[in-house]
Amino acid sequence: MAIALPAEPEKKQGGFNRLGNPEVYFPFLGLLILFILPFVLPIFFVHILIMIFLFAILGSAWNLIGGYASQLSLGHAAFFGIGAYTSTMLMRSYGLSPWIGMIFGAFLAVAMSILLGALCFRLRGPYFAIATIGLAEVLRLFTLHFRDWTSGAIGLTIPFKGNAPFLFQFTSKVPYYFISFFFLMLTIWVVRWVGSSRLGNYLLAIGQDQDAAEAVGIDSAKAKRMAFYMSSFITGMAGTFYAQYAYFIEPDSVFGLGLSIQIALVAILGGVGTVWGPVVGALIIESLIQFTQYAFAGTIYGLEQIVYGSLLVVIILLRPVGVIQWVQNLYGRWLRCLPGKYAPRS
Amino acid sequence: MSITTVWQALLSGLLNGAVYGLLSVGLTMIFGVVKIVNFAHGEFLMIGMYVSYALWAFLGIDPLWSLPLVMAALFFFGMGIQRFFIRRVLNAPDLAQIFLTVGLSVLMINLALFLFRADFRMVKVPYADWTFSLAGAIVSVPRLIACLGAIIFSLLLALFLLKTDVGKAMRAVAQDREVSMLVGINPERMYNLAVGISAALAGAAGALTMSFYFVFPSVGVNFVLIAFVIVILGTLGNIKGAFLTSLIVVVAESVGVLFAGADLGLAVVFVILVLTLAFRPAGLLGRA
Amino acid sequence: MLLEVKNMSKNFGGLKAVNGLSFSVEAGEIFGQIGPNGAGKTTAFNLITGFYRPDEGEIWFKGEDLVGLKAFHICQRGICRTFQLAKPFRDLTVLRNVMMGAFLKTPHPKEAEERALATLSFVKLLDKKDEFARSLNTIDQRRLELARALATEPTLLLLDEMMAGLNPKEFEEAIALIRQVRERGITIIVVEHVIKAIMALSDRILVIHQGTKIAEGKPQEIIKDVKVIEAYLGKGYHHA
Repeated sequence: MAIALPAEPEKKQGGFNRLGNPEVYFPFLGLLILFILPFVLPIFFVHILIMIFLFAILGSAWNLIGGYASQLSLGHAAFFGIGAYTSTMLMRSYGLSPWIGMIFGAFLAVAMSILLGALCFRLRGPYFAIATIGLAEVLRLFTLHFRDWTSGAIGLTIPFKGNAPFLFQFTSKVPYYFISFFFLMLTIWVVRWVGSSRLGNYLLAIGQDQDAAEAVGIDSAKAKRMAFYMSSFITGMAGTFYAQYAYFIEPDSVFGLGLSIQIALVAILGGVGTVWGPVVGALIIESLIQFTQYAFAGTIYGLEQIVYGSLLVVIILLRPVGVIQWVQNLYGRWLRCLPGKYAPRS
Repeated sequence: MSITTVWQALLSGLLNGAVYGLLSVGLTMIFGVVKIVNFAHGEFLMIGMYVSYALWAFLGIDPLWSLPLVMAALFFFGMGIQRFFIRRVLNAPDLAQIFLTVGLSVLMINLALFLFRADFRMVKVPYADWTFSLAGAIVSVPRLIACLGAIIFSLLLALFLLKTDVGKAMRAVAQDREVSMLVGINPERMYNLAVGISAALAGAAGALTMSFYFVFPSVGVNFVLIAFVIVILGTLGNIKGAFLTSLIVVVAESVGVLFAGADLGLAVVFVILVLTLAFRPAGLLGRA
Repeated sequence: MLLEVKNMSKNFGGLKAVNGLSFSVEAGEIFGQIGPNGAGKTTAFNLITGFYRPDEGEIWFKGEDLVGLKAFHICQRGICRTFQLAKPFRDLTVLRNVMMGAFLKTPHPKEAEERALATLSFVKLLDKKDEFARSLNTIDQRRLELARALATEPTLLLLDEMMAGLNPKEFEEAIALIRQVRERGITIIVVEHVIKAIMALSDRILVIHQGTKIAEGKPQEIIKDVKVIEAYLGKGYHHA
């Protein structure tokens, strides 16, 4: 008769053993690869990556109120446009460095969200969405109308000053790559922090059952407002980045409903209310879009938007929680294939 | 700013307002019966316009004569949208409901873009330039016809809802779904009907304007944004409210642009909307 | 006097759900409220805790009139309630549910977690801390509801029909638990249909009928009160 030996206690991987765990070392490897990529890839791909980073930032910012606070915004372009136009107009008129203009723009975006929040935060669901559409549209129309200030439909160009880091301009795409990447990491850090903080927990509770949340002392309006301000701040900053990267802005592209929908789609496709969802969403969508544009280069009108619309409908009908879970499973399986001792920490 | 100008604006507002009314009653009916905000409602109008245009361009049929065809086509299209798409998110959270119809809207607009390109298209009818004068203001005959058509269809809708059994059944579902099931009404069928009828009305609104307006893929967007303002102001689900409010809002917009400038018309409407949502979310006629 | 309700009224479109209700609750007592269905007990709870606003009347708590304050303000001031139909945060774990209450007293997640664990241990739900709230049975959901409220460290706790549908063993456990809550220094108002529970727990009882007080006093006095018997059983039962 065999004597059953007591089961070996679960050994936690200590010290250098941890380095052998793909879950630990692969992110470092990944970061290394990401750092090298802009120097080895063709410009077109670097551009795609920058767009992915940009939309990951936008999607994450949207997620703060759309995902965590369950206030669905279809007007985030309003904040994006405010950021873009503020820094650009300040630079053209006063030579103010867009780095500083960016802060102004972000604060102006927050001011706008304070106004909208005060007026419309009591609204739920579709009514709030409609109000946000209204806000972005009004801003778009005002920007078109007050031509003397904003050049209206003609748009504004960033005066080209060559390689001017202090003026947020670079002749190569590489600095933009690293700036947007850093910005993305910062945004993710903020989202993670919010998620684990009291505010994040409160937002979760509000999303579950607002009445029950209030019964345990949660000021739901205040929590949502905090999330909204953070969201609009980040989005405003992203607007400035875009202006400096694209060298040209005009009302329809930075205030447009299409942009707002795209931002929301990034978060929804990836996974509303998750940290990495918008990143995954941005990855998928931007790759798809850039490939579509490249492959069909203007031969099929509206193809890009057809892709957006179809993706949105398909995701809502088939997988409204987003694809992040699948991606995370795939990632886990990928890690298992790598050399080393895979021991999931979570 | 003379009194004539204001009178003209008022009159234009009333004429246009009726057409918006036709669009809005459909939107508010979908909300009342199916309990969903249809962000793709403007596209029903757009499709109606394109169908009307196509029938004119290829078969030479005047938009007014092809109206029944347009309405029939939109009716089945609307039912299809409800049956295959909207039905699946009726019990889903807000996010799904909102973004489904948003996605459908984007899809439809861009399919139209793909099929018809972005060009503005117009129909040429013999009476396009007929006008007459009414106390100093100029009334355009096509617009008047459109207005009358809109009023007629709205009245027909009212009759349908008030006097026919099916209409009453629909109102029952709007009031209380569970109880209406208890008396043998099939809510699903009512939903299909509601969206079908609304789409037909929206299509009619579009077709009616083809004699003096032009169609392009995103024509529905501007119309529907104003329609949102109207239905919210007129209290969601309230059909009478929607029609009356249409007149009020469009007249307000017509007069407003005299001061603000023509391109800010939509902005004026939206400011009205945001203020309404902030202070009286249930609309002018509703309980908060 | 911890809580004093003066002449509180609430109208719902012509129906006076609560009509000139007045009562007071002493610190440290368990105060029971009973009454037939529709008497206005839950409405009274909703009024006190800020979910509805009274049309008339005052609600004095710790020297302040609570009328007009929002629900979360009132919770922050020390009154917490449970719901008759438990409202857990369904997709969150039991632990996280309770943490939401604990966060009222501390902004730090770690500390909130510790307090939540302690509260879960007190209500004997610690073993289920990592389960999702939606998968709990009704009794445990009520425990969770209680734990979440306790985590806010209330001065006054309002329990809305916690005892419905319990078997004898669960009943005894619940009674004991509520008494233990009182021993922690928390004043409790209990609304119940189960007469046995009210009699066992309450130091004093308020009987509500059609939105007003028809009797108030010690349990022994109440069961003999003629008006109470009439309200529950109808006028023909004086001799019962």
